[in-house]
Amino acid sequence: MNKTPYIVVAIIIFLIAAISVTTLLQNRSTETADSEVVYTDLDITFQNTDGEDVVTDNFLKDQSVKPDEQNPGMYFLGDTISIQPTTGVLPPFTAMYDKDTGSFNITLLQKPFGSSRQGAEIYLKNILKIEESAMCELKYMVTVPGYVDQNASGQDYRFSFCPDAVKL
Amino acid sequence: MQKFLVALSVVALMFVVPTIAGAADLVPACGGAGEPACQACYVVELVNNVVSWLVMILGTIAAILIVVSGVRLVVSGGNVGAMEEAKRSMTNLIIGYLIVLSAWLALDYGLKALLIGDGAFGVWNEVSCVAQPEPKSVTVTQEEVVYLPVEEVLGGVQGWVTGGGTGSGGGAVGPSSASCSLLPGPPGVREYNCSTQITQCRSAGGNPTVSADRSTVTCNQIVGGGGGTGGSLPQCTNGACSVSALMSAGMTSTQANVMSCIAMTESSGNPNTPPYNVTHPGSNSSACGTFQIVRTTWNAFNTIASCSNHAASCQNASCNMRVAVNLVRSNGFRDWTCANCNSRAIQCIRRYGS
Repeated sequence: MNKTPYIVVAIIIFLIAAISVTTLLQNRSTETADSEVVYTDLDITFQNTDGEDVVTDNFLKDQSVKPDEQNPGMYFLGDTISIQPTTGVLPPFTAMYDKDTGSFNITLLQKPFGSSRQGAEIYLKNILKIEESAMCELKYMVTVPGYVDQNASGQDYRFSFCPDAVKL
Repeated sequence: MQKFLVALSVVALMFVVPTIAGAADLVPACGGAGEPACQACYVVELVNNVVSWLVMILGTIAAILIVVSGVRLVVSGGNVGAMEEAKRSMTNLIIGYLIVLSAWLALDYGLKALLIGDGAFGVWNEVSCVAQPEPKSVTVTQEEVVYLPVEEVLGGVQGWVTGGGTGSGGGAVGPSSASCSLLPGPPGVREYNCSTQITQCRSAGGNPTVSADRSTVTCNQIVGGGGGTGGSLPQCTNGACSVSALMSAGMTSTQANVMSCIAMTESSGNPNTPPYNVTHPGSNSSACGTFQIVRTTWNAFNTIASCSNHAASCQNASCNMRVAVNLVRSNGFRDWTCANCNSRAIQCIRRYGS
C-alpha cells in the first residue's frame, strides 16, 4: 500500500490547522484589547478598575475635538492646540485623548497651574457629561511638561476633586 | 546533458549565494560599542535566526532540486524507468520540504508558548526576543550627575533638618524636614507658606508631604516601585510613549520604562509639543516632540527617510520613538541627564532603571 498520499494529506491538514489556530489566537487577543473602550455614535463606554462601565457622550463627535493629523488615533479636546508662534502665548491647558488606549492626557501650560487645571476640569465635565466621581475613574493624567516648569514636571496632579488629587 | 546541468548549477548558485550571504545577520548585535549588553534572550534570537535562515536556504535548494527533477522528467525521452525515478525524487522532495516546514512550525509554536505564554502569538514566523532588564543600561557618566540621596542634598540647604525617623509611604526612606515660612498676620493667627520647601524637596529628587497644620514639609526619598498613573514620576500611557509602545519600537524593557517616565517630564507625553523656540520666542533651542529632541541630535540619529525633516516630523509620535530608540541605544540616557537638561530624568532612572 502506498502511504505517500496519506502522509502528504496529513501534513497539509496539520499546517492548515496550525495557521488557523494562530490566526484565531491573534484575533482573540485583539478583541480583548479593544473591548475595554466601546465606541458608538452616541456614547463611549470605558471600564473602570473594578470592571464597571463609565459611559460618556461621544465627545469625539464634538466640534471642539480635533484629530491630530500627524498621529492617527489621537485627538485634541477643545481648541487648545493652537499656539501663537510670534508671541509664544500658550493656552492654559491641552487635553489629548488616545483612542487606542482610552486615556486622557491633560497638560497644564499656564501658571497658576491650579487655575489651568480647574479650566480643564470644567471643559471636560461639559464635554464628557459625567459626574466628578465618574471622571475620577477614567484613565487620565494631569501633568506639567518640563518645557513649561521643570520643577512642576514629573507629577500627576489628578483632578482637584478626586481623592488622589495633589494640591496646586 | 552534463553541460546543461553545469549551467543550471551556476544559475542555481546565483540564487543561493545571496541567501548564504544573509547569514551575516544571524548573530544578534549585542555587546559591542553602542549596542545593548548581551543577555540570555539573544541566544533565543540567535536560534530563531538560524532556524529561519535554514528554512530559507532549504526552500531555495528545494526549488532548485524540483527544477532539476522536472528537467530530468522532460529529457527522459519516454524511458519509463527514468520518468518514474524523476517523479519519485520530486515527490520525496515535496514531502521532505513539508516536513521541514512542519518542524519549523512546531519549533515556532514551542518557543512562543515557552517564552510568551499569554496567547499573544505575534507574527507568524517571528519569535521576539523578550529582553530582560539590562543590569548596566543606565549609562550616566559621573560628571553629568549629582547622584545624592535626598537627605544629603537637603543637608546643605538652610532650614532643613535631616536624620532619624522612619519614612512614610511606599518605598520612602530617610526623611528630612523643614519648617515653612511664617506669614505675617494678626496676633494669634499662624499661617504658613510652604512653597519654597516643596520646591526644594522636589528639586532634590524627593516627594514632599505637608503636615496637617501646614507648618512643616517632610521630604521623602523616591525609590523603587511605582509605575502607571497617579503620584510622582508617572509613566506615559498613550501610544506615543507607553512602555509597550517603546518596546515595540525597539527599546529594552528597562529603556522603555525609563523613557516612558522621561517623556512625561519632557512633554507630558504629548508628541504634538511644538519646538521650544516657538513656545519660548527668543530661545534658540529646537527641542521638540515627545522627548524634546533637538534638531542636530535628531539629524544624527534618525534613520528613517520620512522622518528626516526635523521641523516637519518632530511632532510625529512614530518618528519620535524611532529616533529615541537609536539615541538611547547609542548614548544611554545622557542626552536627558546632562547639566541643565532635565532634572527629573535622574529620578526616572532611579525609579525605573533597574
